Formats: sequence, C-alpha cells, structure tokens
Amino acid sequence: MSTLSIYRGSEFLASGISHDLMRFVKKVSEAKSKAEERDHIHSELEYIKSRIGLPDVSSSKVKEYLIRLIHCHMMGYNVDFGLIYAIMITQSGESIADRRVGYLASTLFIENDNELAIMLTNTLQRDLQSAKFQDRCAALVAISNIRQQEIVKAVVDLVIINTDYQKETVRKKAYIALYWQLEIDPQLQDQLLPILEKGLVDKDPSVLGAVIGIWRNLIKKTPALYEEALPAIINHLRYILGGKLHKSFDYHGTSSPWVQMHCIEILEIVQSAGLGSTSEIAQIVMDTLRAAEKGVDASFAIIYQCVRVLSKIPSHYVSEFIEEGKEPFRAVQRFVAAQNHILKYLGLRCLSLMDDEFWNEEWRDGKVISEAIAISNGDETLVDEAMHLIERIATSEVIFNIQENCLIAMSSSALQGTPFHAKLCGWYAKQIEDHCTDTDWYLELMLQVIIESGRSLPEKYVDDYCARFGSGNVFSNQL
Amino acid sequence: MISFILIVNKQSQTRFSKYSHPCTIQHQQRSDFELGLSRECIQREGHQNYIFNYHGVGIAHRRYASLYFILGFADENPFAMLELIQFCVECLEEQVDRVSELDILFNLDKVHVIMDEIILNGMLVESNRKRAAPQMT
Repeated sequence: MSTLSIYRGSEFLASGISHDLMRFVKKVSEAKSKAEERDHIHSELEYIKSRIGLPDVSSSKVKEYLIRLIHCHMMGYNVDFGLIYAIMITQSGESIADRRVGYLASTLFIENDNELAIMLTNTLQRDLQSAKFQDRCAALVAISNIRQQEIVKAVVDLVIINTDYQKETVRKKAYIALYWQLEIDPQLQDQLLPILEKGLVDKDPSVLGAVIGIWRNLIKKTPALYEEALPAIINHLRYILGGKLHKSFDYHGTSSPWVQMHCIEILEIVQSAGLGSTSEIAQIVMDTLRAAEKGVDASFAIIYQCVRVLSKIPSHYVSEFIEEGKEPFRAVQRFVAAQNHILKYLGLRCLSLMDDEFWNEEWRDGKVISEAIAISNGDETLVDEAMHLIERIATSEVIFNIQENCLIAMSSSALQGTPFHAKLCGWYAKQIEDHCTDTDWYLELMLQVIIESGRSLPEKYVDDYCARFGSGNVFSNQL
Repeated sequence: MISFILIVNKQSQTRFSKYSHPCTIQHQQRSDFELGLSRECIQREGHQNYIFNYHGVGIAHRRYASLYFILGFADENPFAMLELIQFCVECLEEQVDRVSELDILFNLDKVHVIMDEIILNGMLVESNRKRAAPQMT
C-alpha cells in the first residue's frame, strides 16, 4: 500500500496518530525479512533513545515514543531503556491518555524484581486517590498487571478504599486488583477475603459479575470457601435467569452468559467436593439448562457447563428428572447431529461426560458418533474425541457399523499422506484387530482399510497382513 | 485463567499481544512461540478446527477477514472462550472503526486499553458491551 493512500486512508485519519508514528509502523510491518525488520527497529530504537530524554520533549511526544516502543517490545526487542520514561510520564503526563500509555508501557516493560518498579508506587498512590475516576481506573488496571510484591504491599489499603467508590467501573477493577494482590501475597487473605465477600452484595451487576469470577477462582483452589459465597451466587444466577438484568448485558440474546457459566462452574466444584446441597444444585442447573436451550452461541457453552455438573451428580437425580419428563440431555442430541464442527465437538464432549445409561439408543451403535470422523476433514480435535468415544463402546458390531464413515474419511484425497491420515488408518485397523470376532467381514474390511490407507500404514504391517491373508491364517494374533 | 490474547495476520506476524502475569512464557520466547502458534492456527483453520491444545495451553481461535484472534487459556470452557473472542471483536468494532490490520496497528495503545476493560490480567471483568468502553475523557 503506497504511503499516499495510507495518508488518505480512513484508518490513519481515524486513529489520530502522527505521520512519524504511521511511517514507523508501515516501515516495520512491510519489512521483507527478519534482518530488514531488525535494522529498522534498531535504528528506530537509537533514534528514540536520543530524543526521549531531551528536556523540551512534550508529554504527547513522549507518549508517541512509548507507543513505538510498545510496538518494538511486542516484536520481541529489548526496550528496557524506555521504562524510566514510561514511569515518568505516569507522574507528569499532561493528559489522561498520556498517563494511561505511561502505565501501559510500564506494566509491559517491567521485568520481575525491577528496582524501578518502586518508583511507580508514588504515582499509583496518588492516582488511587484522584478526584478523577479515570486516574483511579488507570492505576487499578496497572496494579492488576504488575506482579511486584513491594508495590502490592504499598497500595493494598488504597485499593480496598476504591471498592466503595461510587462508580462501578472503579469498583470492579478494584476487586480484580485485590484478587491479584491476594494471589501475589497470600498472607493478605485474612484482610482481603471479607472485602471480597462484600463484593458479592454489590448492587451493580457488572461488579457482581467480576466478583463472581474471582470467587470461582478462589473456590477452585479452596472449595471450603464456598459457604459464604454460595447464597449470593445462586441468588444472582436466579436473577439473571429471571430476565431481570438490563438488556445491555445480553450477548446474542443470552443474558450475561459468562457470569452464568462462572456460577455453574462454582456449583460443579462444590458438588465435586461433596459439599453443598445436591438437590438444590441439581435444580438450579436444570433451570439454567432449560433457559439456555432457547438460545444460541454462548448458550451452547452454558449447556456444556450444565452437562458437566449433571455428570458429577449421582445418577439417580438425573434419572428422576428423566422420569419427570424433564429430559436433561435433549440438547445434546442436537449437537451430536450437527454438521458444524464446533457443535459436533460440543456434542461429543457431552457424550463423553454422560453416563452410558443416559445415552440415546442411536448413539450406542457407533454410527452417529463416527459421522464426526467422516466429516472431520482433518479436524484432529473432533476426530480424537470421536475415537475415544468409539473405544469406550467398542464391540465387534460397533466397529463393523462405523466402517462406512471411517472409509469415507480414509478415502479423502485431500488427506492422503498426512499424519492425520496415518493416525486414522492405524487406529481403525487396530480397532478391527482388537474387537472383530467375525471372519465373514473381517477379511474384506481389513483389505479395504489397507487399500484406502494408501501409503499411510507402515509397509511391514501391510506385508504381514498380506502374508496372513495368503496363508489363510486370519486370526493368528486375535483375542 | 486466560493466559494470553493474540491477534496475528496471515503471514503469522503478531499485531497485538497481551500476556497475563501467571503465564510463564518469557518475553524472549514469545516471538518464536507466537510464530509457531499462529502457523498452527492458520493450518487448523483450514480444517475447521478452532479448539485445540498447544504445548499444554488450551487454544481457541477465530478468523476475521485477514486477522486471527487467538486466546490461550488454562482450565476454561473452550466454547465460552470462542464466544469471548467474538465479544472482544464486537467491542473493538464499536470503538476502533473496522478492526482491520491497519486499525489495530495504528491504535495499538487503544486496543490494549479496550482489552483491559474486558479481560484484566486474564480475568473476565466485563461482559456488557456498552460498559466495556474505556471512558478516557
């Protein structure tokens, strides 16, 4: 793309960046070799090094130099010299945008145990008490992104105060910052857990959503912590399911899907640890499942999360639901039959989680599952899942049933010669060897597999088989 | 836990990267890691394989025009991660025009700030699109 067309292009105009920055970005992104890129970057770094420390450089110019350094850093180059200027601009940057870039660059360039990190502490403390909420947000974001222990200790009290600030955007970032501070310094637990509990009764759903995500992580590590948190979590889940959240929390028609999933995940952990009330958990999971069945996209992910929990619940609960006509796994049918790879994979994952006794009849003969192999077109994730499921239910009859689909995949010219093809052929041949009990179709099928496999099966293996066929010694290494 | 977010182009050049600090991939290793991963994603995209494992990290990726959005995670619902990518793209579209390669390159700092509103050091912090806009003025 010519320089002139970039100047006139809407991306450049819309971004508001300077010509210098644009030229730099263009030069580097269009470099034809690693060596050329290295040369551009090194000369750029030298240029910036010589300019950024000059006394007459404006705050916005420093910000621009830092953005160029962020580009270089992203490409793997060392920009340590820029850290001090990043920290300085957080202190003295004229605009919020300048200071925000300063924080961004600082958190990106900082290595572990860097003494310069301490210099950030003063600015963080100042901004955590700023009259402007934007400054508080910038500081809280930076704190979440840094791992230096010394900084954590110096700011924790101020972060706690921010969990009571009037704006939700500040509060939710403060809670996340506290969570990370807890991760860095677990001794803060006694001080911070009560604050995080307070977050569970925050009036704002955004803050509550963020806090629930935090509690998911906490409960994952220490399931016993669930007791204080569970009532609020179930409450909020019911609130969401009741459609009470504002429409702006909808994603493709589903209300707050990731928060729903975090709630369900917490229930899964609690159930797995043998804590909480199984019947209460089972009920709310069914309710979530029912609501999710009406949705699309993220709702599918919610259904998956629910099936995970149902698989951890003693099967008599699930049987009761089935007897009451509630059909907990009816959505799974839709997924298993889907042509879309993601949905099919989702269906197979659900099958692998489910108890055999809840499988539909049509899944047990292997044909439907093996459809995944036929349509896979090299999708390893999908095929691996199908293979595991087939192995789980493998009998002579099942292996016979899946031949059509397996041969379709094996005969695909696009896959011939690929490692995927070799894996598939080897796997199916092994399944036939391991499970076949019927001479009638064994011979013919093995021959077809060998033919369709082309060069994918090891030569010695094929030779051995041909020799056995020839001598009539078909089952010599069977069972 | 979301370990990293990457946006790469068809030539496997990284156009945006954000790593959370529990992620142990050091700065010096990142270029090679990103190159290998993006090649893997591009190849698998041809087979409609959007979820897989790469060196022990869960990967979800989606393609938008000439860009690949890649999320690395540990211990997360992979289908939720795919939708999260879509959500991030929708947020970016609202605030950075068309989210083309040039848009990202020219607004790198802005993309970081927007992503921080949604995923803060690997933690999902906001899933309301209107609220995920950073208020900078």
